[in-house]
Amino acid sequence: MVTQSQSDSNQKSIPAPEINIFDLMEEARTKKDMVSMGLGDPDLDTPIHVVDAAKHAIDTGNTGVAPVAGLLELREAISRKLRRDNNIEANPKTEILVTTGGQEALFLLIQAIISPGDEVIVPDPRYTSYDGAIKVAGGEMVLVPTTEKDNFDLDPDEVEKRLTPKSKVLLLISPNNPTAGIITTGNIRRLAEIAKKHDLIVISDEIYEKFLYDDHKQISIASLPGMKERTITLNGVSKAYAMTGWRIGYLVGPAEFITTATALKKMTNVHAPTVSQRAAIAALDGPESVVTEMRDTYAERRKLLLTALDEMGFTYGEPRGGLYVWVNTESTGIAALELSKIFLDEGVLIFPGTGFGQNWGNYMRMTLLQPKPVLEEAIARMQRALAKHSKGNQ
Amino acid sequence: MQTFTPPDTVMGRALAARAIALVNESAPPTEIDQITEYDLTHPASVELPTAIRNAAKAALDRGETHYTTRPGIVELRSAIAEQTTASGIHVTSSDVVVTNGGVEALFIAMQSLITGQEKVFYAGLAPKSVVNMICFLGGEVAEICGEGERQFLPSPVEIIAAKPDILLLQTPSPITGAAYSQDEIQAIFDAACSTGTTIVIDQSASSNLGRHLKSQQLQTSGDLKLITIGSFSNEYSMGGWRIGWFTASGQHLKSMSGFKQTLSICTTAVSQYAALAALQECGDWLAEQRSHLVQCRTSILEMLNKAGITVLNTDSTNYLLLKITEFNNDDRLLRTALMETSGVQVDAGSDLHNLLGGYIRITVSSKNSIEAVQRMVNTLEGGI
Repeated sequence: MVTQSQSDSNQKSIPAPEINIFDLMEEARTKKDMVSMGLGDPDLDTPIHVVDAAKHAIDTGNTGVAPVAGLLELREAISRKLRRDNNIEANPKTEILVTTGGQEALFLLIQAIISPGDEVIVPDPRYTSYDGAIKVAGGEMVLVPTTEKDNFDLDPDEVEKRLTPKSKVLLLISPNNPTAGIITTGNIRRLAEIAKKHDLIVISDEIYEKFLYDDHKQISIASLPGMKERTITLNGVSKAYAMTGWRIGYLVGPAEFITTATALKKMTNVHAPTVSQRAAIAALDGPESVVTEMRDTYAERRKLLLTALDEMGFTYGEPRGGLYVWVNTESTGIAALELSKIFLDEGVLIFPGTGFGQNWGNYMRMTLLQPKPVLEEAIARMQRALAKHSKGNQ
Repeated sequence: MQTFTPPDTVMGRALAARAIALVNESAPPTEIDQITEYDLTHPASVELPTAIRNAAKAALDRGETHYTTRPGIVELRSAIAEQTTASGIHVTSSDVVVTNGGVEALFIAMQSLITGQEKVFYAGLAPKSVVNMICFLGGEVAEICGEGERQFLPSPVEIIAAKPDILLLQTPSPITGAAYSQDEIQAIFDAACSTGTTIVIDQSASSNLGRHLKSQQLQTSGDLKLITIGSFSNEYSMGGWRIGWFTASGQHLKSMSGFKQTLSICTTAVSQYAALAALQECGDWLAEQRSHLVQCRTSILEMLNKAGITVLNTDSTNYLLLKITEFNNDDRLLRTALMETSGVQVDAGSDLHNLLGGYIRITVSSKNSIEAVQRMVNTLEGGI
């Protein structure tokens, strides 16, 4: 069940049926000459040293059954990464669980801590896979709208005024999917205080953490005083290392949580694939330069896309992190669902905002996940589509 | 066995009750510090054939490192569909979803079927892991058990008499290794058509040893509500690759596909290509492995027979259940004594199911198994 905030009335929203973005994607696959700016699957290649590590594991027979919690070497690599990048100390033996992708990580953590009736505070718009996991556990989502004028930062006051005695979990996703907003350091600190004051568990989904632009920074909430005991950090290698097909994610949290999540992991699919775990070790312990290069590539594409969007008259929240731009389509006078179909007919797949919550009928999520020439082509097609539509309406 | 009591901490207080219950229910009965060289509880590691390894590496070289389509690559689904259809269960690639192992497929199937407090009838001895899974999802397990001579598998008549709405057939049994014959499966299917029973047939525990059991084709009709589950773990020794599948149709397929998306989006790309090679290119290797397993098994059965140890024989998986009451009435004590005296590790029957008191289970898979069994026999005969 979704509770809509009263303050939604301050934002122009077009109620529209929610759609399944994966269904749209499957439909697009059937069309020829389609440029996808839809799926959040990095087009860049998994770094060669990571692939080589996997091939070495295959050649040396290191592909057998692994512990449920994940290979200890991988958990140790994750622990080193957390210390290095996030200022988080995590015992690899007791405080880290390797999962089969970030998607499974979020499913497991929700099942571990949500009981029927528990409220989960969720920034809106959101990655709607959280909806499914919360529903399976019997929880209830309480949506906190984020706004374009705030660049889709999360306002702690908007969070606090929605808390009730049933509030259990505060979900933070930064950089955000789909908005590309980040939660500023000041707001992270304030949210930490709110969590402590109201005894909330915090889920911090940091899967896009490596891609921050224009010198923006963010901190991991688990690193703040008093927060480690109440925070579950979710991350993985899919986005940072272009490893979506390898299916490796991880959860970091207090030992009692990890014990519970591990039992759930054993029940759902036993352990993450061993070859992928071997590859992930190479990724995390390998050169950071591969990630920096990816970020620079995405930054170039972001610049190109934002320039084009400005020229087309679109507005958007400043995409400070991640792999997306959350585009306001109001200037076209066309609802996003219809606009996505117009673009699809011209050969560009873009997800309408209602794939990320029913209140976002005038937004679209565009990805930075095509090479510059392809992105330029996508932009040209969008311009043609808009021109045709405008001509047709004259 | 230690009980998990969450500490009185912020997180400890936050844990969901059913998740805590799962931790306690799924705690291993004993803590095993290490696997010894005389381990008879796991199949020995097997070097995978070149075809599988090369296919996996070639996939990586081609850049198969992205999301695949949600149900899995069409080539693998087609190959699974072909294999399933050849068994008499007619499916197309659209009816197949590739999963991260057979356990994931079973979890998804149970999620789809248990929407309230449904009772899932289990044919034979239900593994604790399956009971825990069904209970976690809000369901209830009703075992239909046969006689010991049938290794506790109920006959089709006994199953039909129970009038199940949902029937879970794990054949071979993950506990005893016993499997239904194709005739028996056919009888169960035929009855289900008239009673409207939804059958989940999970063949994940199938091993190379039992390939002969699938020689006869089943006859299925459109009235049969059937979900099939399979895995590459045992038959192809690909446990670490985490690759399995389910087949379903209609509303079941739709709902299970939705649960798959929520749980893991898609299955690991490189594992899918490895599995495809397993299906398409490993016939000779499987035959060679089977021949080796049959030899090991024959040697071990001769040894046990000579020692006068009663064996609940199966020829479908690597498991052998041995009756040990003449040595010690307490199978758990015997298991510990064997480990301490001779370093041989076996499974205590009572740890597997409460009807298996007085039995131990050994896994036969390699020449090391023969040596381990000899060591075990010597220890038993020497007095323990």
